[in-house]
Amino acid sequence: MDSYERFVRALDFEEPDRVPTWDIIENIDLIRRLGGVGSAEEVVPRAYRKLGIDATRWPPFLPPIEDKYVERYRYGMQDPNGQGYLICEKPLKFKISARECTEWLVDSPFKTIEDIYEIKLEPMPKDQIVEEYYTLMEKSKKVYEKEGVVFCGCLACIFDDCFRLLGWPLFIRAVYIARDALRRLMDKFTYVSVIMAEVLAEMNMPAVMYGDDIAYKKGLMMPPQFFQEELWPRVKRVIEPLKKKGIKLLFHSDGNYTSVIPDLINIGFDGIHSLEPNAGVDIGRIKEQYGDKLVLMGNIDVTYVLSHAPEYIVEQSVKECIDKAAYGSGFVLGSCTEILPSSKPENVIRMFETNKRYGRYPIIGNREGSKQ
Amino acid sequence: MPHKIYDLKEAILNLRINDALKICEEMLMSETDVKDVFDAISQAMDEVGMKYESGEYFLSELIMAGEIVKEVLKIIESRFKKPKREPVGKVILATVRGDLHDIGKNIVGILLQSAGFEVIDLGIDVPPEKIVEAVKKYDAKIVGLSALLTTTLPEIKNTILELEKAGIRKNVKVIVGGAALNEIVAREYGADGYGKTAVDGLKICRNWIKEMS
Repeated sequence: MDSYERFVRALDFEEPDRVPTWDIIENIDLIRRLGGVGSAEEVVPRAYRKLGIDATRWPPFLPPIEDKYVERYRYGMQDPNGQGYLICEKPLKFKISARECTEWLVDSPFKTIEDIYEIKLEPMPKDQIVEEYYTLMEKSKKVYEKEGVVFCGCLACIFDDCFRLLGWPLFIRAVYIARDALRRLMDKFTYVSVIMAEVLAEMNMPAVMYGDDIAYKKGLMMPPQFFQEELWPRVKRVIEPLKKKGIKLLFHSDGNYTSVIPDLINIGFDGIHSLEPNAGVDIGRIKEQYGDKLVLMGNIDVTYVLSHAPEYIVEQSVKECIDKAAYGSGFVLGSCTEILPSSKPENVIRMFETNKRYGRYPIIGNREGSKQ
Repeated sequence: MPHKIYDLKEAILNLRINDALKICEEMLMSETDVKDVFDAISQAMDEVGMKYESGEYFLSELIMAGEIVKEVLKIIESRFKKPKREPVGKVILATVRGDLHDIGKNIVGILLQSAGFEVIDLGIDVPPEKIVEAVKKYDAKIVGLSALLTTTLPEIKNTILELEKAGIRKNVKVIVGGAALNEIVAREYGADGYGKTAVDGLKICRNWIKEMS
C-alpha cells in the first residue's frame, strides 16, 4: 500500500496496512544523514521517504545551521512561505531571528495600544498572494510526490501570528481595552488565510492543516469564551472553501487544548494534531471520547522521549501510543510537534521503525473489552 | 481590611485596570501608607495565582493582572524615589544564552515582585558569566533560569556549571522553567527546582526563603 492510500484510509477510519505517519523534520543532521547532499527540494523529500513519513504539511527547507537575523517589511511568522503576506508601511520593519528553524519575531514596531490603531499593516494584493502561494504549494506537492510522500497544504494562522506580532503583554491589554483594534488586526490575518484556503481547494489534496497555537502545557492560553467569540468564527470562514470541496481539515496546536475539542468538531475539523503528552494529554481518553469523530495525530513526546531517552523508551512509547489510539483506524503517528534539532536521530529512526513493526493492522490494542 | 485596600485588591483581581490605577492614585493622594498599597497588590496577586492554579483563570488573566500591577508600581515609583519595602529575598532572573523568549520569565518576575521579592531581571539571551556576575553583585540567594527552545536547554547546565566554577553554587538555589523542560531534565541538568508554572515557581521560591531564614 502506498503512502497516499495508507494516509487517506486512516482519514476515512478504514484500516490501512499499517499506522500512517506524519511529521516535519527540522533536524539538519537527520536530513543530511538520510537525504544526502543536494538542494532542499531533493534531499528533504528523500529524507522523509527513507524515514518512513507518509505525509507532511511544510514545504521542503533546510534548517539554518547558524543563527540568522533578518529585517523585513513583510509579516506572517507561521506562513509556509517563511515571509508572510502582510506588509508594514516603511520605514517600519520587523526584526526576525531564524533560530531552531522556526522564525521568531525579535522586534516589532507595535509597542503600544495606539500603535495597533495607527500602524498600517495591510495584506498584499490578492493576485500576488495567490501567485506566490500557489507556486510554493505546487512545487512542494510535486517534489514530495516524486518521493511518494503526501503533501497537505497548510494555512496561515490568526491567533498565534497576532499575539506574536504584538507580544503577549500588548496583545492581552488589547483584548481588555482595545478589542475593536484587535479584531481589525485579526481580520487581516483571516483575509490572507481565506485566500490560501481558496488556492488549496483547487489543488487536489486529501487534507489541509490549520495550525494555531492556542494552548501550552497547562491548558488554553485564553478563556474558551475568547476563542468562541473571536477565533472560531474566523477559522470557520477560512476552512469553508476546503469543506465545500470535501477536503479533510486537520487542526494543530501545541499544548493541551482538550477542553475545546467539541468546538473543533462543531467548526468542521476532521482531525487534531500534536496531542502533547508532556502537556497532560491522554490520547487513550481522547480516543475513547472522540475517536469515532476525529482522526488523532502525533503524540510522541519531544521533550524527553525523542531528545533524551534511551531507545527502548522510544519503542515503549510508540507501542503504548499504538495500543491506545490505533484500533479502528483514525490514527496517524508522529512527533507531538516536529522533529526538532534537539531530537536524537537514533530515537527518531527508532520511532518510525517501531511503528513499521508494531503498527500493522489488524490492531486490537486497548479497544473496549480487549483486555478481558 | 481598610476600604481602599480592599477596592484596589478587587480591581486588580477583576482585571479592571482603569479602576486600579484610579484607586492607587487616590490612596497615594490621601497619604495612605505605601505599605498598604503593596499589601493590596500582594493579596490580589496571591488570589490571582490561586485562581490560575485552580483553572478558574487562564494565562491571559494572569498576564493582565501582572500588567495592571506593573502600571500600579509605576505610579508608586513616580511618587516615591525609593518606596520602602524590605525585600523577602533577592532573585536573579534570566532567559539563557541563545533563547529569546521571555513571556514565562516576565510572569514569574511580576509574581515574585508582587510577593515582595526583589527581582533582578537580566533579560533574554544571557550568557552564564553575566549570571554569575549578577549573583555576586547582588548577593542573590535564588537564580531563576528560563529556556523555551530545546536547543538552548544545555545552557541551563552550562550556567549551573559556571556557578560551580565560580565557587558560588552552594550559596544559591537554582530554579528552572520553560516549555521544553520537565522535572527529569531539570534534575539531570543540576537544578534544585523546576516550576511547571509561574505560580509553582513562586511557591518554590517562598519555601526556599523560609528554609533559609
